[in-house]
Amino acid sequence: MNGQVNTENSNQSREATSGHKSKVLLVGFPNAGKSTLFNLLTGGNRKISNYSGITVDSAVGDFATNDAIGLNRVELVDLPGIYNLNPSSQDEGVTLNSLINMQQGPQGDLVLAVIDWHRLESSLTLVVSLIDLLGTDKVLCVINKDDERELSIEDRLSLEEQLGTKVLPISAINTDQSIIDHFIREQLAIKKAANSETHSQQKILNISEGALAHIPALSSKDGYIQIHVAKDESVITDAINKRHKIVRDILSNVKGPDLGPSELSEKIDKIALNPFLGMPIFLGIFYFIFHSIYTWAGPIMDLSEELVAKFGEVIGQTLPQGHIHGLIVDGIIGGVGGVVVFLPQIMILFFLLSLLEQSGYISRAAIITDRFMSFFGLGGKAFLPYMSGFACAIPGIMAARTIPDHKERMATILTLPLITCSARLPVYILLIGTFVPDFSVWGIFNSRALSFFFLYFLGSIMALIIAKILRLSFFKGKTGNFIIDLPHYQRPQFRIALKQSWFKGKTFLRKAGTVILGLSIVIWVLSTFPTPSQQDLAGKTQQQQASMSLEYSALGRMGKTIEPIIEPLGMDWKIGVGLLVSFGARELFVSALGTIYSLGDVDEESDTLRERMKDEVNPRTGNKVYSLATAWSILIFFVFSLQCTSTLAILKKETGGWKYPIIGFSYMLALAYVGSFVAYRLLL
Amino acid sequence: MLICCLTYQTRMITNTCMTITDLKSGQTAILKNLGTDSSIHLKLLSLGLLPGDEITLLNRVPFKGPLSIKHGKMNYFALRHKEASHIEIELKA
Repeated sequence: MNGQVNTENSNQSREATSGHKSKVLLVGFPNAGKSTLFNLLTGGNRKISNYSGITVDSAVGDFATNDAIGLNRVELVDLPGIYNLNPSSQDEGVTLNSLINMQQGPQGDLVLAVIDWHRLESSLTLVVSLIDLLGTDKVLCVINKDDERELSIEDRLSLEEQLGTKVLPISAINTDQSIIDHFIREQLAIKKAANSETHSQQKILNISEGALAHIPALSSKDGYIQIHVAKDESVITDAINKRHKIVRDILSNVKGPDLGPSELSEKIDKIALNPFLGMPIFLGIFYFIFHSIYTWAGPIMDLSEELVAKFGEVIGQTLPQGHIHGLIVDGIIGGVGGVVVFLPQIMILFFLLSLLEQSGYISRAAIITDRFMSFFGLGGKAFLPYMSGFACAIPGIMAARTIPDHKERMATILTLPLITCSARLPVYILLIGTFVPDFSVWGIFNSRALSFFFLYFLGSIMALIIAKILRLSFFKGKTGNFIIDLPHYQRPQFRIALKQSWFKGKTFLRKAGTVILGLSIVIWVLSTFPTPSQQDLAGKTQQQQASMSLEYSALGRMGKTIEPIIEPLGMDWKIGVGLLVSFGARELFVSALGTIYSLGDVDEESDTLRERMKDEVNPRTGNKVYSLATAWSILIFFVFSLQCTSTLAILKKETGGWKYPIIGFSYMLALAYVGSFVAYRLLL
Repeated sequence: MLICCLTYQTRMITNTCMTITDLKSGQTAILKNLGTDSSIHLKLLSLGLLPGDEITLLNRVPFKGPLSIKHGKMNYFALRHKEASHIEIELKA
């Protein structure tokens, strides 16, 4: 989980040591800017975008100014967005549960309601229901997205008077953080003083029977808010109706935002949602992303590859021959270096995805693809988790919490690991860039970018096909409602995209420097020891000696054992070793091959992994190990197979047992094997 | 689905039993009834829709795909064809 700023546990231990601590809960509409505000005030790195449902869990963060002398500690809690107090999915349940478990009394928690300036009326209705439930002394208000300072002072004062609480118009993009910080601290002091005088009365909150299912851990500790399950749902709709009319009265004289941005959005949508152009535009945008990863990253990658090779050469010359030399040059530089060269691609992918997410197009993409998704038994709500899956399956699986229907959610979660995540990127680029010939298709497409696009497409379509099968069998049922907010388009900020890309790049490097480094050393040790006796090696050429040693090693024996299983797929035991270790993490395939071929490469003629792979010869047949068929066989294996321990762990967590992770792992392995076999035979 | 035995032409002429799906792109109408399905009803209410409000159908995704709708001056949302068929409207006079 990248967004986690501070875990609950570490906070609890700090709670005991501090005297004056205030907790502020961020509550508001989805996509109102709560996470942006959270990042601004705490210096955190919660993922933000311009569509709803990106935050599905709570996170606690300290105000960045907490360390300043003379200031009390304030903690901010970022919560998933809600439209009303009647949750319709699990993420909304998290927010309601936090609200009813707020600590009461003078030292109790407060709510910071985030009103969306672009959806003033509807988001204000939520605030009125919050005030009704908690009282004016528990709720602070900010109006976000007022980027042009459009709310006049008179209007603000009239709002404050009618709501009974202060309102600060802000723009998470251009308001100085200290202004918001100061406002919250000042209001906290006032509200707390007021809270110590008044006695809280017990409140009743009506929720529907269906909503109850989305709050698994429903409990109200001090019984301040009583939950009442309404048999007749009109009680709930009537209450919203009533508040809505109150809000219309409040706003009757308030001048709303300028219509410019919304008119522009309407114009863009005329093209983006055009019956004929919608689909081509959608596909075009995604092709462009994959194409640019190829064309832009190519030169950068060649450079970083050369740098890594040079580095290895220099280090190799300074170190004396022996095991230390082997460990550093073959194990660490060959293994870790082979993975690190993919940093530019990872950063470009996340940079472009962030621009797309910020623009507001993703919700339109969900509409364009809804017809398609519903054919496969999934609602438009499943599109957004799938979309997250292109970065990494883990946030995608978590985002599936926004899907109200349990069966639909399970079908989404179980198929999500088939979506091509960024960990597959190094393997795809390595194999496509080395073995797929580079030529232009129909003058506008590039063969390699198209292969790349095809692999992404294959993973996605297979996810949908499996989802359909699941929806017809184990998880049978109708798809839920799909009513989605369409945010205004906005100009994506390069600063945020760069930050996101930098953050992902750092995560990638950290993984390379820890997990991959550690496992590369393990792989080197296993592929070096035990060593054959000197007698066996006597009278052989250097080349033969190297390959004998490799086969004699522990890893070599393992590879030899599984060779019969993978031979029909066109793979030899060395590739088999790569596949075995890749079940820990996909990138390890690249680092294992890096180490293995580096060990076998005694004449040191070829510097890079790509050259070594091209030169690799099968000792028995004398033919090259890698052909186009072998490369595609490996690629297809990686498209389908679930080679990620973190994904298995999150599957277990989200489904509450080992059953679904085991099912997911098995069906994907079967798909991978059959898919590889078919691909190899077709191309042979 | 709104149960109605009248044909499209009759509904158009009499301006009764119309739902959002009867609108053409760019056409504006008044919301009459948010339908009987309580989850749809609740979601629409929370998005800020009230009977009596003006809505405009903006775009339709082909093959009975979702419809994108403008509500009020500057709020946009989309819903599926099936859900739209629950929502009763009246053409502007």
